[in-house]
Amino acid sequence: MSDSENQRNDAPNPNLSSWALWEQYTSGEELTRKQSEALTESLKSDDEFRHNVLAEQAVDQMLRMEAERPDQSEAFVARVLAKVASLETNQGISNSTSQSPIVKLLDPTQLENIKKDRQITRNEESILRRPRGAWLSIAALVLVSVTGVGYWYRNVHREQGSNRSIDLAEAPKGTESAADLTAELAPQQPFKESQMESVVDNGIAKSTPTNEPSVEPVVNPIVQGSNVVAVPQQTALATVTKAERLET
Amino acid sequence: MRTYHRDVRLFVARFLGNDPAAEDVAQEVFVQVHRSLDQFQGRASLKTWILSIARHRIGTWFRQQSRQLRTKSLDVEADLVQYRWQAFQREELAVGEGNQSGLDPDVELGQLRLCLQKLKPLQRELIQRFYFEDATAESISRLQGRSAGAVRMSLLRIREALAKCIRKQAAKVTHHE
Repeated sequence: MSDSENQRNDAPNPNLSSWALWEQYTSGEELTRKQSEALTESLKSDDEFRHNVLAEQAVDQMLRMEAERPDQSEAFVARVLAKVASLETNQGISNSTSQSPIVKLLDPTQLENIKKDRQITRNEESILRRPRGAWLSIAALVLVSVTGVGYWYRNVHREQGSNRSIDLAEAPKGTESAADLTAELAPQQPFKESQMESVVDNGIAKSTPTNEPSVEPVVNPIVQGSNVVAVPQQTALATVTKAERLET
Repeated sequence: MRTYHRDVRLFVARFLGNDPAAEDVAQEVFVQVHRSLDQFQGRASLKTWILSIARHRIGTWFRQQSRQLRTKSLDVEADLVQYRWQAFQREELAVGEGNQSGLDPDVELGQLRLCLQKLKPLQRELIQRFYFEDATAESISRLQGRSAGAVRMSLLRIREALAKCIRKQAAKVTHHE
């Protein structure tokens, strides 16, 4: 503020009587009826005085705010929170699923995220408030799904178990079931040593079964078309012949 | 709330002055903020939104006061409420027309600090003692060997000078914009 301005502030005010009355009024001193009327008239007729009075009061509040200590600020916050709390109590607001609005009032960063926060809370609440029937339906659906999967798995497992004795690489073609195949297969005896001997005795193969262990596994049944048959002798012979050729 | 309570209180004080109701109105603004949290859509800043609630609450208070004061005999206080309401309506009109005549409370506070620096040392000391050290006009008057009324009058004139200084600063800001 310049010196000329300061000098002007110290200079006698033309509206000193009005300001003096105003000072008297603001200091809490009782005004006489005449004084009160004079002040009222000044405020009414003198626009500048009225404007200055209002501005001066605003500056007074600004100075008080500027000088306010943290504990005084906290007192204001506490008073507001008490008001909000009593309001909540009166209205019976108790929302345990979302954060208390008092906390939101205290934290500006949370206030900034109110919109987002509110949306999330609404979604959560909509899930939590689903009707009981909906929950039962979901549970029933899950149960049915699990049972179905279990049944399917058991069937597949049983099929695999029954087919274990069959060479899957040569799986039967046609409509015959695995059970039928097993039943048909059961009477068949493994290729006996006597049979092999007879083959040798017929002179078709010279080698003995003991010397040619590769012949022995031919005991496995071979599935041809829709019939399961024991290894025919000719097949065994062919195998032996092949082995013989290899030897030579 | 800790971030914005000063803004709200300053904003309320701009229109209500040192009316004892200013504190209550500021509190009610935050209660209203709490009630209307669901309506905040983030279009404006949170501060602007809170100050718009404050503006609305101030208008409501003035209307209530106006109704109550009509039944009472006119006195200085009643006149002041009327004048403050007129000032508020002028501000509302300016805002409605897109002319933001009112300054941001924070900016206004910054201008006050600037204007405090421009005071004469004796004036600054008086402000320091009265506002920042909680001294009374009586205790200052004893120290300075003056009457309490003279001290109060000095304080009043310093505030008037500060108000003029802030107005000048605001005019400069508006001119630059």
